[in-house]
Amino acid sequence: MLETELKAFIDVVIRYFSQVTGETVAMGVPYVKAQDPVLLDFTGVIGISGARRGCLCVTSPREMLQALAESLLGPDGRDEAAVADVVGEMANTIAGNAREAFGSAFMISVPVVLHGAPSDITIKLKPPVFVVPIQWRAWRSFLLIGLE
Amino acid sequence: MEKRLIDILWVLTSGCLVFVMQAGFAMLETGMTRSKNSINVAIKNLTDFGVAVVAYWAVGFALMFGPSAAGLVGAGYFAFDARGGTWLAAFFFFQVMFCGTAATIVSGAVAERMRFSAYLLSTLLISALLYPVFGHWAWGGALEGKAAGWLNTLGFVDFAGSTVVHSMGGWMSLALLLILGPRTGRFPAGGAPRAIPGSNIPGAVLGAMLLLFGWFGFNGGSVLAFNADVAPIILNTTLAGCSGMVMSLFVGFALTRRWNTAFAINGCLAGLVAITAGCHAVNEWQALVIGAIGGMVTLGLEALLERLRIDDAVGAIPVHLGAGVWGTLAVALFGNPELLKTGLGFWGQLGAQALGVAVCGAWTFSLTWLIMKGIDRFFPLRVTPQEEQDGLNISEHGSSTEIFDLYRVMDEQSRTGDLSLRVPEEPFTEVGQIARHYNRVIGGLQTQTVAKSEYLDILDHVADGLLLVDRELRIGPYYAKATEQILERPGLAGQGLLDLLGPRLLEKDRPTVRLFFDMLLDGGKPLRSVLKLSPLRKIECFFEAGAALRSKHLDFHFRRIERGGKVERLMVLVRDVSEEARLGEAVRLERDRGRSEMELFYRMLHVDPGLLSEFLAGLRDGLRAIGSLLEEEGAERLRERLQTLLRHAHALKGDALLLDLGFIADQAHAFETRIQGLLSNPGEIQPGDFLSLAIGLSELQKTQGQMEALLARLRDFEKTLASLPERPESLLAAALRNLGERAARDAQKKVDLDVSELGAVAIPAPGRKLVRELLVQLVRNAIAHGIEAPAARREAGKGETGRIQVGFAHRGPGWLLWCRDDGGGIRVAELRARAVASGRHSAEAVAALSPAELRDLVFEPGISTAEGVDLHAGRGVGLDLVKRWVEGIRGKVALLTEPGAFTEFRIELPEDAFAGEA
Repeated sequence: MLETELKAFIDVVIRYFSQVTGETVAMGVPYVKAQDPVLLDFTGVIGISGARRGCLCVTSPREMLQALAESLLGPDGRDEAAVADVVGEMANTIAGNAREAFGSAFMISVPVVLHGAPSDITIKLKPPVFVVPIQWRAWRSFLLIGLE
Repeated sequence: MEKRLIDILWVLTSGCLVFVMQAGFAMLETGMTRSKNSINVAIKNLTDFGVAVVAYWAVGFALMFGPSAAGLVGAGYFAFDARGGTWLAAFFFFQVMFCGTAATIVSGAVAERMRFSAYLLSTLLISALLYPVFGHWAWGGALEGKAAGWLNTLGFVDFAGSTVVHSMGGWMSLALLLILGPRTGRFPAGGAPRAIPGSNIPGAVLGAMLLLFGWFGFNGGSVLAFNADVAPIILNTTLAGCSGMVMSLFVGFALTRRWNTAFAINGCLAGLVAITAGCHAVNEWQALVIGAIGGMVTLGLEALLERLRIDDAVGAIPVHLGAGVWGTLAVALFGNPELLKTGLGFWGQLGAQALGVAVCGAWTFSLTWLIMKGIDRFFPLRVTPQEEQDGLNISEHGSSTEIFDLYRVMDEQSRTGDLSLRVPEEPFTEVGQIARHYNRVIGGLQTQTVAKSEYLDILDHVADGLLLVDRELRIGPYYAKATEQILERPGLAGQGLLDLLGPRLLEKDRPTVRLFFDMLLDGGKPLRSVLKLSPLRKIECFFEAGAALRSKHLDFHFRRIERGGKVERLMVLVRDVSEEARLGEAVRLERDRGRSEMELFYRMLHVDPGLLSEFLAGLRDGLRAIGSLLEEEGAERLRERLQTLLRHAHALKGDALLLDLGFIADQAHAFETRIQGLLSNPGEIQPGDFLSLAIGLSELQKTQGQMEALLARLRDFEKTLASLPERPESLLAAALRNLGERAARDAQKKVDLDVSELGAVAIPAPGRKLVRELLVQLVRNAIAHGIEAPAARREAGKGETGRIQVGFAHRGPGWLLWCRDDGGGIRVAELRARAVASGRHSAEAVAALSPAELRDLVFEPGISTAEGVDLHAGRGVGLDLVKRWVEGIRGKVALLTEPGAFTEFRIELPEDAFAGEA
């Protein structure tokens, strides 16, 4: 995995969070996981094929998404449906940005949002999985990149 | 009453003319109904005449013209007998024709639905009861030339039967139609009435002409004499018929903008019916008016019946009932009282006429309805719907017609879709010609359909995708079913191939594919050259599969379909070669993996497995520590973290260098350099800076994983070796034999190596390695130095194949190992020369050696009698090693030899050599 490619993936996600929240979003120290990467309450999964194969996940705790929904939608963002909407929207925007960012040698799938920690995500993540913590306010999301 | 002969002749002739009306009705009614009922309609017109004549002969004439009983009914002439009376016979003949006419009117109205037997019953009713009784009321006493019926006594005038014959037929038709109901499909539920067309309108026209012709007798004959009245009556009849026809035709045209034949026919008949009552008492103008109004009445009544949903198949009610009523009333309106001779005034006459009309209606309608309705309850008057559908020709008479057969086969064909059916071809008929052409069309259609069905079968079952695209790359309507599966999209017809394919391809490939299609469609470029540039050969396409993309390798082939030098379409063959691509990729990966493993293996081969294992454990721990440092939560004290990482990396490098594992040391060094690069940056260290370290770590982890896997495999291999059978002598024997063959081949000698005594006893495991190595050296030595070349053996009188025997046995307190060959023995002179040539012995010293001492020279290092160095001999190392090994364990080596005969090494090994590690 080239550093430039990895950086492009990270930039897409950091940019998304910064744009949506309008606040500074801090990237944590990236690390490598050979197996069992962390999966939080909601995970947006985007399949990637072409020049590299595998997938990209953004996994977040429910509280963070609720806070994000509230910051975007106001009091309407408190219910469960709003959280699901925010997750879906996040996955779509990241997938769209990824399509633009990674050029013509990649195929980016329609994103899917999963609840909980289904085991098949780890199958789609090809090791080594690079884990990038993303800190927003008091919560941490993780960007997982597992490409061959 | 005596009549002139001319009168009798005229009445008989008129009777004949009236009979012609029977034929006219038959033609008219069959023409205006469907051909599937034509036989039924026609036969009714014949048989009702038969029934009417018989009934009228038996009863009817008696009731009508017998001596009157109070003007109500006649009595006399039952089972009519003219008793030689010419006039009486002529009169009967004429009247029976009228009866037949009254009966046959009903036939057309109820056509296409009434049972034949029920119809005959109704004929019996009208000819034996209804017509004669009412006829008596209107015409009773006519035979005697006086008014005897109660109606004609009251002044009711119906000269030739507008009411007596025609209205009566009409009333009966109305009653029957109300019982029977309309024909199926005539008045669809909730829809507009549907006209049921006639099958032979020209025939119907001929029927109308015959009726008109017969009417001359009908009205003219009713004078019952051939006198001056006859001609005006016939003229009036003609005028009224024609004025009715013309009026109905033109008014009908004004209403419908069509020259409707039925309007002309029925208008004519209506005029004739209308004039019948008063044709003897009106002038020509009046006749024209009566006929014209009769035509109008018919038109109006036809519309009324349709509105009331009463289905009169031929318009018998409007014509016979409607115009009959009008004609009867018209007698009062237009009739010349002097000619009427009733003595009534206008209103009196009109009242009499109206009474006659009403009485006829009441009598005929009510009696018909009551009797026939009663019969209908037990014996349905109507055929079943299926019989009606099949047609009464078939259901009632078992007869068919060509056209019906044609329809039947066509119906069957449309119902079953069976194109193998053929309609019967009757020669010399129009229907036969139609049938012949129809059969030809169906034959052609069948050929094409069967051929098409075969192509479609092929397309449905072929495993590859096959399709045609037009110049806009739109997929044609027929394509192989497999295409849908391959492209994962149903209903491809009409879709653009590029639109389907584009989103499945990498963006970078899309412009190339578009350009390629442009080139394919450009007939000017040779196909072979274009295909060489195809980007669609085994191209990878991507399909959505949940949150992942599934890739497929599709192989496209193209052919141009040209017309007039222009590429009109492209034939596309597409195969899913994913499995082939997957296998190819798997083979490539396996090869790469094997190569990199082998490289890795060579790089770590020099390291003792124990040390390597220790090193890998250290590497694993070191990398884990590095990983944990990166994973540590928080972004504080990053510089300190980097320094710790640097120490770990340095330690790893040191370990690798100690074991001379340069490739690991290089990776660790690169990792170290990255850290030092970050540390040397005086600015603030960002978490993102650690990205390169995460990548470096992943590379080191990958190498570590590969080494561990390789080491694990090596351990597995060792385990396999250790688990070999307890008595590996057979393996040793086989290995020795192989070695012997190889060495003999290389030395171009023939050797038979006897290992049979090797497996006699089990070699104790601790000494197995030593025994093996000794035998290897001794056998190689025997082949290289002992056995002669085949030519030399022949010269020495031996067989070409030398023999070597090896063995191992327990002897006394220890073990004995031997190797004996039947070669040339130790070549003493040569050995001396080699010993001197080695520089370790002087020529004198060698010359002074005893034979035993000389033999010992073979065990000295660097002395070999071999001609040159090869894989098996020539370095002078083998026997030296043997001696060292044996003496190392306090064993003894004995060498026995006889020049030209044999050499034998006997090695005694002490028992304790097999007790410890060999």
